[in-house]
Amino acid sequence: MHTAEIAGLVDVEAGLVSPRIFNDRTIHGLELERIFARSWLFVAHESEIPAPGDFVSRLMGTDGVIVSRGAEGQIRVLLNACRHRGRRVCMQDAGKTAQFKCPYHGWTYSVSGELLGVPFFESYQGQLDMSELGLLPAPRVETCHGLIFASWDESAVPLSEYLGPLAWVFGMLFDRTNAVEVVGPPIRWVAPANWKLGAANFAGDGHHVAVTHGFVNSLGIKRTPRGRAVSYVVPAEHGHLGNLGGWPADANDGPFLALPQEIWPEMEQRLDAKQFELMRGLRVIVGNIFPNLSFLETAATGAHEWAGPEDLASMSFLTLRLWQPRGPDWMEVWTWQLMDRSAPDWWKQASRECYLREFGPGGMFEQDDMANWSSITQNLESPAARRISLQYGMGLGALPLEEWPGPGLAYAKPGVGEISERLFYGHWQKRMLSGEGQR
Amino acid sequence: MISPADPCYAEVLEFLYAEAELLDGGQFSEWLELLTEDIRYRLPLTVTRKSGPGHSDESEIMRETLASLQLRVRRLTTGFAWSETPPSRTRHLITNVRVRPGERAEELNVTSNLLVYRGRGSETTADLFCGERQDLLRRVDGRLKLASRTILLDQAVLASRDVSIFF
Repeated sequence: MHTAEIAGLVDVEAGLVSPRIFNDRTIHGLELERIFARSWLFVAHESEIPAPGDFVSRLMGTDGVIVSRGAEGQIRVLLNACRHRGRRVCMQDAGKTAQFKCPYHGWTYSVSGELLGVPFFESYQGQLDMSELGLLPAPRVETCHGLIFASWDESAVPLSEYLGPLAWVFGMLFDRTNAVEVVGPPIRWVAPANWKLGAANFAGDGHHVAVTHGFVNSLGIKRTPRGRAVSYVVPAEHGHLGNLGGWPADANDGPFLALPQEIWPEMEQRLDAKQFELMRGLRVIVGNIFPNLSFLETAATGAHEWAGPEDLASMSFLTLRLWQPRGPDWMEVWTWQLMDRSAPDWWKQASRECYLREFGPGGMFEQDDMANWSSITQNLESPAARRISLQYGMGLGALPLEEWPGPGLAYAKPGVGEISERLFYGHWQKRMLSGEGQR
Repeated sequence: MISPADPCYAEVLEFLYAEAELLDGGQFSEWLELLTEDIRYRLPLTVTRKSGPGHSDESEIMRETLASLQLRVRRLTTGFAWSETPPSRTRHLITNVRVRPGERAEELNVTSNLLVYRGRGSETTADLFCGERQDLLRRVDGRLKLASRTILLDQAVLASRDVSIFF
């Protein structure tokens, strides 16, 4: 595919996107090489593999990997392919083991990936260097507030630099108490939709809520408080977006993202003063780490309508989700809920139930998102449909804010419209244009 | 195990078939009438592990009460339930029904195999949900009602874009 062709797919200045990017096989192949094989990708949360020998099976783009904790506690990300003939050596979602044994000829690897044993080794007559034939490790593995990321690009910038100001935002979500941990294994499902639609939606499509999730207002469940609130859009150099939505000053139904009061003192102790004060007025944090990791913590107003005791005004839930590409017009969605260990048990139960009723394949919010993204992907595959340009032009003239307590810069909401999606697709295009050797 | 020749077995079958008819007919308000006040409706997550039951005891896809099931049914009437616009066409196939006495005299443990076909709009591909239902039926005022349902699906990665239907 020619550079000029890629350059014509997204026009950030005009806010236009070509339908082709959601279903074209050639474009998708380039995405796997130029984006997924080179970006920092989220693979697991540390709480999923707390002890030596623990492992989980994950995807980096379309590559199956094992994320394991070795005997000495070191986290490794290993290609799940035997170095002999390429067979999968780990067939489980998760577990604890001392070694992985290939079912084909029996090459055996430690949980850290070293090749431990090769049947008929002596028949190689000294020609086989076992030290060179461990499971292929991702050359870069780093963590941020418990989130494990890996990259196949040896020369990738450090993860903290990659995340930029979003690492500061992540502190408010994943490092605010002593242990923010996953609730069980991830829930997974597939949808006939392009992965970018999920990522861009979470990057900051706030104005789909009123229609896509209009059932909430229709049923009279109190959801979005009225009144002007301070909200921010925080872009990052490497294509990430964070959105921090505030409560209206006179309608703060649940300070600190409606997290339980019991954990506020711990939060004050761990967070810096700017983070803590900013969180006091927040009701939602949502965004996307490029390319495909989305995060959301949102207060659910009218909480008792969803779950929990009858007098509960607000509660919240925290989720991570990966939009895994499975072809130009299919994705596999991986979702986790995370919880503060020190939150009260009744609150954890209510938060879990609230989350499951809103998100995941059974979630009343998420299933309507899936319907939209699937329809878009399928609908734009025909020739006439490919001629139209998709509109992402709302709020083109937005300027950065003067007052923003965090690192980097921020825009004010409302009034910036589709800036998050423009920045997401703009960065996508930049990465697609970066050929070999231009990182 | 209660024999298929037992009148109680026939009564259970009649309940399950009538329930499936309501679900497949989109009569969800009437379906809610078959549930007890304290219904627990759960869809545990299927996982692939070396050993063990194959379902997570920590993670579920759905964990419902009567109130939340009523909310889901009310949602369908709002005109904003896009996942059910147009409504799914479902066919519940229920087989291998096994009935055992419950812990209490008025209760029965019923295990069945479930295959649900779901078609949508003009789509030519359909969803198939296959699994086991573990039900607790309770006699309330002479009628059987559903007091608990656990659905164990046979897919670790759900091959569908949503669970907008009831099992």
